[in-house]
Amino acid sequence: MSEKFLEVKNLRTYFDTPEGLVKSVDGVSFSINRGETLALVGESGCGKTVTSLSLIRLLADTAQVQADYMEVDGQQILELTKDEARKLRGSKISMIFQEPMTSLNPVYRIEKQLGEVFRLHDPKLTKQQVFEKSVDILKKVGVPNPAERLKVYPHQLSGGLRQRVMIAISLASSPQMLIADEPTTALDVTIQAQIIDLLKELQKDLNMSILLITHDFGVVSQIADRVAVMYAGKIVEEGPLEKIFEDPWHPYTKLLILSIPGIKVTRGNRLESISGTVPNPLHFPEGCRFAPRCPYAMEICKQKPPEELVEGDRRVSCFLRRGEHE
Amino acid sequence: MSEEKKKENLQQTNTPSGEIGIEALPVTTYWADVVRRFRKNKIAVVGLIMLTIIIVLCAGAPLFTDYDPIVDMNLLDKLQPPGSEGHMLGTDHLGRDIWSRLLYGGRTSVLTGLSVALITAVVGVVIGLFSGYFGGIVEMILMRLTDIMMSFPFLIVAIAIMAALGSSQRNIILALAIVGWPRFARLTRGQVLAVKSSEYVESARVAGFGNLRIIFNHILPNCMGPIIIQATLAVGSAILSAASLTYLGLGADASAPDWGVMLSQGRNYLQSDAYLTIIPGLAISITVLAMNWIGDGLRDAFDPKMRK
Amino acid sequence: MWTYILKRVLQAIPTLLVISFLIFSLLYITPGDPVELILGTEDGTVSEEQRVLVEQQWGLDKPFLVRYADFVINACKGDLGTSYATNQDVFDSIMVRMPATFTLAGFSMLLALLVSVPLGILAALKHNSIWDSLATALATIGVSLPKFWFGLVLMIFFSLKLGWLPSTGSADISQGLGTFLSYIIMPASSLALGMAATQTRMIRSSMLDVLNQDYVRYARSKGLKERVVIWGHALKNAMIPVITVIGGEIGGLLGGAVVTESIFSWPGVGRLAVNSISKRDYPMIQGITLMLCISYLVINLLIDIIYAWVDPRIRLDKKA
Repeated sequence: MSEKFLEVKNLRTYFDTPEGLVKSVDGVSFSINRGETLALVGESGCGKTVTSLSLIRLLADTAQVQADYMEVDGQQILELTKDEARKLRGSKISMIFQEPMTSLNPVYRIEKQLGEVFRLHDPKLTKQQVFEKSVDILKKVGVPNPAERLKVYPHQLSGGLRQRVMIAISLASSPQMLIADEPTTALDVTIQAQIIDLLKELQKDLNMSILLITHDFGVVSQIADRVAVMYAGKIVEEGPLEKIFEDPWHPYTKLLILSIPGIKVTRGNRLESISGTVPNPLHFPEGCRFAPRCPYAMEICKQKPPEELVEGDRRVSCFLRRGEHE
Repeated sequence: MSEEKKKENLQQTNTPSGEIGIEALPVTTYWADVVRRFRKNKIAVVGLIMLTIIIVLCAGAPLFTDYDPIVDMNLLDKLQPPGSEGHMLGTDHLGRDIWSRLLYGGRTSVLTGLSVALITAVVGVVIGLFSGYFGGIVEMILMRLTDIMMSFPFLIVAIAIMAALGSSQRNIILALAIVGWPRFARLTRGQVLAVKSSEYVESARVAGFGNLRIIFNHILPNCMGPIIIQATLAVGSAILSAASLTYLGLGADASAPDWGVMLSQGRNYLQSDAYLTIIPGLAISITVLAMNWIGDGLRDAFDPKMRK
Repeated sequence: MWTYILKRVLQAIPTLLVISFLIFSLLYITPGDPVELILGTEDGTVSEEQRVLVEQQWGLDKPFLVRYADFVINACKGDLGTSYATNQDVFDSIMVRMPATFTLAGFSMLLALLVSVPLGILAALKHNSIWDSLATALATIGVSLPKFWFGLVLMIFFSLKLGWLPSTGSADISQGLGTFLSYIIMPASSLALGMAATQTRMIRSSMLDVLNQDYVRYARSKGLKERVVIWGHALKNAMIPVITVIGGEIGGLLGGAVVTESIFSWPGVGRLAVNSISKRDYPMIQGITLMLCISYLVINLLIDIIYAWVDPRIRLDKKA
């Protein structure tokens, strides 16, 4: 097995709100190897983004982040001082977000927003050097006429170009891991494919790890090595991409896969979609958190939460799977 | 566990799929929510209590003082500092009791503030409702007019109007109403545009309700939040503007008990008897502060962003 | 950009026409005999010949609309008429006093920004802390005090009781910075109070809004120092809505100047206005109102230009 770059054990991120304690992330464990892509999949509101923000310590001070163990490249993330955490973000881990329009600062030219990352790493760089590096990196992410693009403001770029620019900015610090939070959701389908290809290519060139956060199994199937499915603050199933696709064990995974048009079609060619919404994190059900929406829910599912079952390189938390093994 | 509680729990676990998040939250109506959030806001409640006390004191002025604010002059007793015998806040340059003048003066100030807010709100809201609802040329003309009205420093225009109309309390109200309504018109129009195309307005229209009925029964109630907030804040700013105009000598005549009049009379005694200036100013400040606290509380109570 | 400015200037013309008409007609219907005001006799002893003479001389015998048209045409030439009270040229009297008013207004604005920007940012950064509550409370108190009363209280303490500052009058900056400041600080503080309060609240909420924006989170994720994130990425965005609010505040500033100037005997347009009102000097009142409105429109135009300059989204759309 290749070397682990990131390992998270029992991550819990809680928010104290006037209405009560919100357990956005409630005992999440996973790891990512160097050069590997892990996809964290789930509906919005299930804690994916909070998980990633906890990783790079980007949550407000009001968030309570705890873990048994959270290590990146030999560093304990939760033991870092604020300044060390900032340096971690500037060097080892970069992040790109869903909305390139709102993530790029509207009042500054691309030049400044890209250049400041180079300068952060090497304050001695001359203006000319920064400019050359900026042009190079924009070329690398496939932005045409990079020198001209540097002079424009974000709103003057198309959605696809904005996302490329954001990727360029994130790569400017030569990170070893990239967290991509729904990198394609805001884009047209054709451009989605281009961005995915770009990410794959860059990953190969730079031997980068990627943590891909998405709700879209279609995107997952194109890029991920392994998949972790998240529901209501917990990882319900995890394993290699092919195995999960071939034979999803958790009903939630099954439904997520089935809800992608063009991937698998159920009997009668009807598109399966999941009824209902993610439960309110203030009032999680007592048993399995998916039970109220689960078409296979049994009596036991409503009574107690299922324990995690590890089988080879896969794991799942579901009574159905447990039942088969008892 | 009581029988009822058990039932409740049972119901919770049996909730049909997908509605868990909604089901689990207490069900409240919009206005009950607003009241609940307002009551939770300590400063707003303090403001409300302060305002109530001020209104009780001013409305029941004769109960709290033995002096008449105008007639009871006593030149032998003039310019007594606060704490003097028989005059807890002292006397003014004509020997009138300041506490008494303060109470009766509060009537004028608070009434002025309320009348201005009420008139501007009613006029502005009606204009805003109609221009927003009907659109077209009506809207264009009305909004152009509010634009023009709003593009002028309002106190200067009020001063010009006062200069033309002459000095009196009634004219202060009139002048402040003339310069004040466009704010409400603008605000209401924006609200109307936001709810005009909503489903319930559409369905009311489909159901064949008349325009007036739709405007007042369906649209207006949905614009009330921001209008109420604006009206609350308008009371305070009207009291302040009225005081400024009166101070300039454009308001009530010199014998009337009025906070602005008291301030402008205190001006000649700044050096020797500063309390003549400080006391009425504090009264104005406290009243306006109470209104603003209430307004802020209402803003938070109505703000849908806080609604979670 | 130039076409934009031209368009804005053209748009201001009908506005000015309407307001001048309103002021003109208001003062026209006002009770009171201008002839008596001009002659300074209020006991009704004006002879018929005197009346006819004065009316002809001042153009009072012409019909209303003709008089209004004359007023507008003359105003375009910079002639706002002659004062009833002093017989001086209205335009000149106003222009002599404008610099003092602008100095006071500008200094107040500066003072308000010096207080409100740090306070608003502090409140937003320390959201829900004691600093936040304190800043918000101060801001609410600030808008609740009558500005002129605050000025009077300052005067009572710093001039009359402590004797640190001159209570009234003004000094030119050429008389030394210290002297200039000693005269301007109290009237400017009294004018700045409400503005500082409004701006603090505005900057606080705008900053809170911006701090929740994706680009601030993204800037942090780039590993930028917090200082750079706040003062570089957040502040410029947070100031955009504040700039528009400042535009609206100018009106309050000019209006407040009328009262403040008369309290501190500041030799500006505001004091002239108050004096003219008490003398019922209608041409002067008319002229002052018009000039202040023009100033307001010009300042707001300038602010819109600054706004477009700060926010590239607007600037570049205008070009396109």
